[in-house]
Parts: sequence; C-alpha cells; structure tokens
Amino acid sequence: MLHAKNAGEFLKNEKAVDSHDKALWFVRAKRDKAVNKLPEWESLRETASGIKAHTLSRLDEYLEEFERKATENGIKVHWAETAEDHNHLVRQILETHNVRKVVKSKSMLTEECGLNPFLEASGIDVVDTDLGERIVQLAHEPPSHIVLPAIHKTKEQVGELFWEKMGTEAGNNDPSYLTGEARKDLRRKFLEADGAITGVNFAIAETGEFVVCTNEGNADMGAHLAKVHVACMGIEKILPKREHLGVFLRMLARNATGQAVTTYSSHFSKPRKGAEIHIVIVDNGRSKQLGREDFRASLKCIRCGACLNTCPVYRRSGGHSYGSVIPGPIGAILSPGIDLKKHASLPYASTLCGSCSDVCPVKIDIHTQLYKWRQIVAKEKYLPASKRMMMGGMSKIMASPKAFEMAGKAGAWALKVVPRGIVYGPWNPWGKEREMPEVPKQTFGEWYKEYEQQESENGNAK
Amino acid sequence: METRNRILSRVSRNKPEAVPCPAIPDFAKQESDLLHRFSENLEMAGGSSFLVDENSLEEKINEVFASPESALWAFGPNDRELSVEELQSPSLLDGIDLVILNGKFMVAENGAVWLDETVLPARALMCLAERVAIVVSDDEIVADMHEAYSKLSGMDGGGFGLFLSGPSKTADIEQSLVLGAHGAKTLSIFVIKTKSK
Ligand code: SF4
Repeated sequence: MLHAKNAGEFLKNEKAVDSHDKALWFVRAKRDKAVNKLPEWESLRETASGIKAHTLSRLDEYLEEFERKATENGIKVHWAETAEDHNHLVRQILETHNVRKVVKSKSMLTEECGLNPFLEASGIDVVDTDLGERIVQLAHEPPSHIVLPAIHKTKEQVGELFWEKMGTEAGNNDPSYLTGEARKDLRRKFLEADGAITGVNFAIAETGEFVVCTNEGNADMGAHLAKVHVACMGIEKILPKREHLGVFLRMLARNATGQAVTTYSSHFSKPRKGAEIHIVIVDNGRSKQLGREDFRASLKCIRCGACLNTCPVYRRSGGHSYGSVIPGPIGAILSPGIDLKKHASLPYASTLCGSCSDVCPVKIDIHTQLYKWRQIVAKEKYLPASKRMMMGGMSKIMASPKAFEMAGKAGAWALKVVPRGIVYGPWNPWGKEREMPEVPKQTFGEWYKEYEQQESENGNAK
Repeated sequence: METRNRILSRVSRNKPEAVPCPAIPDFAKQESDLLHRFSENLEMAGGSSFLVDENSLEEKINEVFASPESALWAFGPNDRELSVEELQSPSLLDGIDLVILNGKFMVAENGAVWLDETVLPARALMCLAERVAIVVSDDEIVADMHEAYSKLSGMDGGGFGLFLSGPSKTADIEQSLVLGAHGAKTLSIFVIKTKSK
C-alpha cells in the first residue's frame, strides 16, 4: 500500500480534486470562525487534553466504574478483545432477538471491525443511515472521511448513483431533491428495522450513560424505534464525569463543522420500557497503543475530523488514498500501530507543517508522532527502495559541506541546461504535477560570501 | 468475564503514571441578553423562536402552523395520551405532522433546548414528526454548556435526554445544507414571557 501511488490515481480527475480541496477548506474556514468566537478556546483545549490524559492514566478504573453504573441502569455490557470478538458479539445479540433488519448510524469502530460484511454474510440486512454513509454503502466504497464520509463524491456522481439504486429522476442532481428521496427510502427502513446499531461519542463513568452526536437524527431514529439498540465503543471513549461533557460538547461540533453544537446530542442511560440497550466495549489494539509512550496520546482523539480538513496532503489526495479505515493525519499515526508494514508509507503522507496539531481540540502532537513513526519505519527498513536510496545519498551529501556545495551547483546547472523531458521524467517525483523552481543566479553560499565581504568593506564589523 | 479481565489488566499494565484531573476553569460568562443570543444561535442552526405571552400561546402556534394535517400536544389542555400500543411500538407514531412538546431549558451559546423523558411521552416523538414545536419559559435559560450540566446535575430526566439544536440537517452532498435529513424539517421554539419588561 503506497499512499503516493493511490494519491496519483485520485489526482487524475482534476475537477474532483479541486472541489474536494475547496469543500474541505470551506469547512476549515467555518471551523475557524466558530472557534474564534470563543475567547476561552485555548483554555478549553488545555482542559480537554488534561481530562483525557487523566482518564487514560486511570482508564481501567473508569471502565469498571462505567460498567458498574451502566449495569445498574439496566444496560447490558459486553467486552470484545478483537474485531472478530466484536462482530461475533453483535451478531449474537441480534440473533437472540431474531433481528433480521438493522439500521446503523455512523460508527468508525464498526467500520474498523468490518461489521457490515460480517453481518450480511450471516443473513442480516444492514442499512447505513447517515446520508454520507448511505451514499458510500450504495457505491460499495469505504468512507473517505470520518465526519463527511462521501466528501469525495460530486453531486453528479450521487445523482447517478441514486438513479441507479433508488430510481430517482435521471439527471436530477439537486442536493435537496436527492436528500428528500433518501429520507423517504430510509424512513421506511427505520420503521421496518428490528435492531439499531450506533457508535458512542462519549461514555460517562460517573453515571453509566453514553452520548451519541448526530446532525441528521439518524441515531435517535434507529435507537428509539427498534426493540434492541447495540452501541459499540472503543475503550478510549470514557470520560470520568458528566460535567466533562460540557467541555467536549462545546468543542466537538465547532471544531468539526463550525456548528456551535450538533443538532442531536443524545444521552442514553436506561433502555425504554420493553426495549434493550447493549454496549460492546472494544479493545482491538487500543490497550497496546496505551503502552507506547510516544503514541498513546493518539487515544485522546475525539474524531472531530479537523486534522483531515486542514491537512494540505489529505485535501489533495483524498481519504481513499490512505488505505486505512481512519484516513488523514490521525489515521497516519493510528494505522502504523495496527500494521506497520502495511501502513509504512502513511507517516510520509504529510508535509509536517503542524497544522493538524494546531487545530486538534485535545492537543495531540500529531506531526511529532508522524515524525517518530518515520524513524521507526526507516529503522525497520520498510521504506520503499527509491526513498531509502535517496535518503542515504542525501545524508552523505548533507554531512559534507564540500559535497553539499557541489551538489547544489550541479543541480542548478542541470535545471538550466538539461532538456525538460529529462528534468520532468519519472525519476524526478518533485517534477510531477508541478514546476521546478526557477534557478537563482547565485547559490545561498555564494550570496553569503559576497554579503560578508561587502559588510566588512562597509566597516560593519561583527 | 475472561475477556473483560484480560483487557482490564492489559490496560492497567500499560497505562501511564497517574496524572490529576484538571478542574474546569470558571469561564467568564457574557450574561447579558441570553435570550437574544439564544435566538440568534438557534437561527444559525436552522430553527426559529417566538416570544409570546402564556395566554396567547395557542393562538400563536395556530398562526405559525396554519392547519397542520395532524397535531399532537404532549402537554397542556390539548394533550393526548399515547396508547399502550403506541408506547410499545413507537413506529405507529409515524405520520404525525406536528408535535408540540415542553422543553426544560435553553442554552444561549448554541440555541439548544434540553428535553428528557419527563417531557417526552415517547422518545421517538421528537424525531418522527415532520415539524416540532417546543414551549419553554424565558427564565429557563443558561449561558453555556458548563451551566447546562450544573443545572442538569440535580435533575432526574428518566433514562434519556438530549440537547436539540435546530431541525435535522445534512450537508453530505457537496456540502450543500439541507434541512430535514431524517427527523424534523422545522424546529420552532415558543418562549413564554414570565418576566415583565
Ligand atoms: S486527532 Fe485531533 S483533530 Fe484529528 S480527529 Fe482526532 S481530535 Fe480531531
């Protein structure tokens, strides 16, 4: 799996890349506006990061407290060590209730576990109900963003997909028409479903309740109609106290889409009469990540998606190019922890500009972790051969001032005299899709020597 | 049980050294004009609000929702109690045009209203109806979410509660905002004047 190669595929459709880039930058700008309205933003970030750090440092205790309180409230709690465990547990719960039709609201965890194909293979019909997720489900694609799953699709593509799969009017690509048609179709599915699956945004140890945030209301619709509601959460979703929700709910939507809060922030603490709530608490590598000092902060992530929206590489390479369930900067630090060899190219899918760390509401040092993964990837020799050779050569050149001076001059000379076809050949990735810089008349070394000489002639002694 | 213990013991082995939990700072509140801020933020979220006298509430609701196809009041003199069947299979409640609910309190910073099971005869009501109206009194308002949670701490809301901010919405097709993705297509808040101004 090579990020750069996949990105190359995405870049072939210039118009789609352009609208992808613009749409995400639009979201990023809305985020800035919302965030700048709160003078206490930085203090909120500091607090949120501190609450998460504290929670991780006592995670076992809080998980136990949550389990105890939730059980007292009449919720059934299950534990899954791996993705397979999780899938089997969910199927077992559904089968006990003879559930054949499930409506699902967005959950990156079930995506990570591959729940949909697993249930479908057991004859259970699963419908994703978040509009973006429904779009990618109908297209048989994975989501390309953790908050905006279908951000890579144009409205023309969605119109055609709905025409083909739902029989909407041919050529009608109006977003409000298409949303209305999806609403009708999904309303029927909600009414027919006998089971609902949701994710969990926050789980509160103190009260045993959990919070699910959506704008569409699809999690509520599913959970309040079906007779059994299965909520799936990673072990890191815990917050110690209810009052901590005040901090996180103020940040989540503002940072994700620039809204002051999500439309529905729903707190489930007890099942309604005649229905059941089950919670599946999943590890799947998280407790291992907790043990990695350099990378454990990644478990603070609240999946707001802001680091994706702001990332210049993500915006121009698309979520699918990452080949991992969670794309973007946060995906590039989570995925190598799961399978280093497979995801070795992801820590390089970054300019290390640090914008991701700047927007992160829980202050994860994302770009530093990317840099640390690069060192591990290099040490484990997972770098592609071309990169390894180049890095090896570079380090020799950079270690010797003489060699560096010569290489600089040689490069400048080459750019001036070598024909375009050769400079922009496949051996020069820097010449792909972009122009090489104009060669300056002097190298920096030459300029500096001259400058020093002039200064001393002018009598400006150091 | 075995799985649970294995996970918990690995977590306890791998967790970092204990660090204290920071207190939530006491952020300076802009206390003035909470209602105005509430209605502005609600509008940003796609909803609308109306300030009314208690005795003209019905009249105002009839004016805003001229002849709804079907309406369900969850409280007050016009309320209808849900049947046992409807409570057991809430999907029977599908098809209601307008639902009128009581809200517990408003949050100025984001235009949200808190609802819980003491005001929701069925949880599904607030998302099944095409249009949702919520009545709440003007002194039930807090500045921000920190105040909201301190207000909630003494409140028993049953087994479910939510902050609802505006109608259901999506922007999943090319970032174009569409109201009424699944739940209510419109959300109107009727704020009852209790303070004489
Ligand atoms: S790493 Fe930070 S910015 Fe990125 S999704 Fe997670 S919380 Fe949001």
